[in-house]
Amino acid sequence: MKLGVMADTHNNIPIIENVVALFNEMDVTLVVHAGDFRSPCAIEPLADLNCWVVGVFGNNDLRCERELTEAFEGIGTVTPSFHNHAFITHKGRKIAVSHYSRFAVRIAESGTHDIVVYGHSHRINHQVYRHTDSEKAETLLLNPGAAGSKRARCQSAAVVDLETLFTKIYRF
Amino acid sequence: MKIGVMSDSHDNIPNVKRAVALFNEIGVDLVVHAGDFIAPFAIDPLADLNCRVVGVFGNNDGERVVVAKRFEAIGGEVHPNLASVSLGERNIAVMHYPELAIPIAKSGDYDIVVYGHTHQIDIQKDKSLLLNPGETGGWTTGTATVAVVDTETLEATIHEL
Repeated sequence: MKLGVMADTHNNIPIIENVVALFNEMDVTLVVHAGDFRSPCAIEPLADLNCWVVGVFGNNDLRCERELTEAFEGIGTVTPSFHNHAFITHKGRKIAVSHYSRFAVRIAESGTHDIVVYGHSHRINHQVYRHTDSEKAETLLLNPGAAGSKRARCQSAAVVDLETLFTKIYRF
Repeated sequence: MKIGVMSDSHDNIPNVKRAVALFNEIGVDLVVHAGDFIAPFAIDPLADLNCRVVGVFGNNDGERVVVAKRFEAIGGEVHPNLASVSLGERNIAVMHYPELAIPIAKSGDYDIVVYGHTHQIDIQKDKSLLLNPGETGGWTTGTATVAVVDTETLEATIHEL
């Protein structure tokens, strides 16, 4: 069972379509999106996913929160705006999604979740935190990189194996 | 110095007024609210506080632009994810969700970490004082509570409204 992870799609529709095709091919059972969709047109391609999407808002999403929330209908859930976090359990794994690294790092350090996903910086980051006195023995902290930024050298997304937490980054 | 701590007032205006009267009577130097005010009119009674008030949005705070304006009108402020505020030597973080508050308390970044959302009183002392004052609204538990924290001792006292 696999988790699809994406962030910062910033309206880059062709790349979003490629990510959707990849996630479907990999048979992911859930997709999480760490925010910065930018506009509802960036949500529409997610309708082709064969699974549910859980998203959080990014700092660039606040002006069109209502339209984005409506676009999510039937595709997935997005947390109430002005909150950039989602906390979910999927296939027995506790997953936290935050747009910002400063929150994500603290959650990862605390050992309350198995997987912590963030975005915002557009930089790929993959770290495993090991804990001795926490709820979880290890936590995966992951920024999949930006799936849409034209400023980044490349666009990327990630697939996480929910059993082993083995993570593969895909560049587009 | 003392901090008045409240959360989840959920439109219960009489209870918000009771909390304000209590905080003024005790003479708190700061009031923090961990979210779920609900309607903008639920902010107005906070205008009677004799000190600064800082809040964060909860998941049920729909009309956020207007809520923010009401806060501005009473000289307060309201933040999206986390409000970071200082009183004397103490640094205080206020947020709505426990999932965020527990890791931040564990990090030791702040002396006091306040959260709400669960409507349940919670006081834990470790690297930080982690505090949920219970619900000001009292709708779900039947008991309306707020807390007062002494910044010297970091002791939290629960007050029933």
